[in-house]
Amino acid sequence: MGQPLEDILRHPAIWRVGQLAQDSRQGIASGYAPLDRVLPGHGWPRGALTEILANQEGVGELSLLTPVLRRQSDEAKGMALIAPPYVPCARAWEARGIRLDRMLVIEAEGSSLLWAAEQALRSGACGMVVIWACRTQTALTYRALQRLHLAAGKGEALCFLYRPAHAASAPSPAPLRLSLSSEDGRLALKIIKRRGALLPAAVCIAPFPVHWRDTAAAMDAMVPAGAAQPVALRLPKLGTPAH
Amino acid sequence: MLWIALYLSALPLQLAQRGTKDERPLVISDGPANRPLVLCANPSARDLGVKPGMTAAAARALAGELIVLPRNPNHEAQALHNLAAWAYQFTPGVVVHGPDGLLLDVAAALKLHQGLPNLLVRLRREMLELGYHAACGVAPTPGAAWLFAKARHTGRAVRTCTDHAALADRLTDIPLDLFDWPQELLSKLAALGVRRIGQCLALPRDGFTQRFGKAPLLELDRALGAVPDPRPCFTPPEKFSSHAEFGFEVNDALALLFPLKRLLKELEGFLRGRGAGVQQWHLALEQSGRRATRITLGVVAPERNAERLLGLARERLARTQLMAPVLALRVEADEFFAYDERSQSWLPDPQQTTQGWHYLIDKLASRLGEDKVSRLQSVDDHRPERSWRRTAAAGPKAQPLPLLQAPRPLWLLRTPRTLLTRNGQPLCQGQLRLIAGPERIESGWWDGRPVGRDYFVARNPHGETLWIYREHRHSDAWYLHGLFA
Repeated sequence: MGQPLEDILRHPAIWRVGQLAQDSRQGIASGYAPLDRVLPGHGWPRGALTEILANQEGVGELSLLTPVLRRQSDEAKGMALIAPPYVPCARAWEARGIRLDRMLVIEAEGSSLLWAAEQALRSGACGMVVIWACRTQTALTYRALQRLHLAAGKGEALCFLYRPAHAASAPSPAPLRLSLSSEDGRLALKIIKRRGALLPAAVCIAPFPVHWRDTAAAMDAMVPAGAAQPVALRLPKLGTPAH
Repeated sequence: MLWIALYLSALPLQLAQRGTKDERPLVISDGPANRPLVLCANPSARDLGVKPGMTAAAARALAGELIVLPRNPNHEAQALHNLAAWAYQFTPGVVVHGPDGLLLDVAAALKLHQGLPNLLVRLRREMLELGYHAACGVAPTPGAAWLFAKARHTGRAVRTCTDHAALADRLTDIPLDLFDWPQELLSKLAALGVRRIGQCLALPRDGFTQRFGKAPLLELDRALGAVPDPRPCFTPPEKFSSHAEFGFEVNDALALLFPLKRLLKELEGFLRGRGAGVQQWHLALEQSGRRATRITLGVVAPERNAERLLGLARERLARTQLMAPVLALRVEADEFFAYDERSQSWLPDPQQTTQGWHYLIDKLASRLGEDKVSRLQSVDDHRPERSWRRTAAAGPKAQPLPLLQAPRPLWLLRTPRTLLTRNGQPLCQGQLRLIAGPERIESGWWDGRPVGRDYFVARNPHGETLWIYREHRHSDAWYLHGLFA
């Protein structure tokens, strides 16, 4: 009697409370070791929708994906950015090792955004598709998300969807959902949903150079707590050439 | 030598019907304008009692909602010409025969097409895809093949004949009225009791020539292969232009897909014959009372697969508003590029991946518009707003530039945003702390857009990391230019 039960428990879709699902398929390493440790499959799930919920911009929400973007471009796979909120700074992306010749930037909104995303995912020509749905007026219904998820499965592609934080309460077919916030110059990732036990604590990663944080900390130290007057910034004298 | 003859009976009717699935009664009229006669009628018109030869007015009286289209010999000739160009993919020996037939010399092409039966099946199937149906005749001489095709059309059981020795025997029973001989000659022969080729050949040759002239006997000899039968070979045209008429008005752009598919299949055959693909083709929608709407469609790599081209056209037509009902459709292409045929393989093939990538780009561009799908390229300029540009989504790789060591944000704002200041300190959702910088960028004095800026990395109380600058000249004005996302 015990043997069949063990067999059932070995099924990848079943996990015990307090455990991480034993994903039969290896994920794609995110490039951040603390994050990989808490993800089923030890990386981003391939062929599935991953939701990233954030209200803030400039907290490292995109740096979260630069290692995997770099890896995709190293493997000469196609990538698509759909409805990015700003202009990607080509030099900065290249400095992160991301080659731009296989990266499509697609402007779309509303229903054509979902259409374009589905085409890119389904084609099998894209290894990774990143979608920004923060500004689109069309509501992302459960059905629409499910279509994206299934399309990602068909094309065996990584699919990341940026959404505003209030979407956390809406149901979603995505097997992995993360919510982002900034914590002292670092990026705090809270896993809202994963295949496995819920993780109460946030995972912190450092998307920016370490010395930036140090400078910030040093500056923090210089600002007296509760100072009524803002402390003057240490600005270099004008006209001093820095380069 | 081995010839396949394709006899397109009632070609005007086939042309009128290939653009539509519509089954309404339809006749083609011919003859004087004041008294047009029915030349041919489609099955639903024939069911109502319409017969070829009656006047159009009589046909209208029989069938209430009859569509009467006048015959257009120019369109027929053009269509036959296009069909010949399409058939050029099977063999270089294509001959246009009369107003309604093609002759293909396939002796040298049999091995390529894995034998005659396979070739015939393929020809018949692909012609149906174009919207044509033809009676086929196979014989070692073009004349005999043509007779067999016509005989098969009249309902005779004709077997294919590939053997020269058996040809005379097979031709014996073929009626003489299948030749395009004058009616007078045929009735004279009939009066003699000569109705079949066999009987005709049994007559003494000298007497036959004296009574009926040389031409009929020469034609008989050519069909039998006793005399050489040289035929002028068809030369494929430099441009492709094919046309489908509806006979009624089409109001829905997506209803054009059915005739378009047939025209694209024709284009595919044309391109196969040339070993080429197109990168650009035109679709003209001929509308009532207006100039034709011309749509140009492009693909990033040479393509000839009709299904793929149709898929792209579907996306394009879906966002096309028809200003007036469409009466006819024309597909044109005039520039051709070498095309690499892909082989079917179950191993992952980098070339196939590239084709999938190109097809994705084409598909996105045809629905969203070409300017909405692009790639980025870095430009060697220190000014951040000029350090990138958009390029075509598919194209050659750019020469890599040396990597920048200085911090650059992943996101750039399209135009820098002025920041509020308090006591000379920049604000962006709270007081900004400067955490790196300055980096001075001073450039562009030579092209009239000089910048002189000090860039800083700044962080606001919400933890957002920004890229801001101040101008040299107005040192108290601060701008937000990017986000370290």
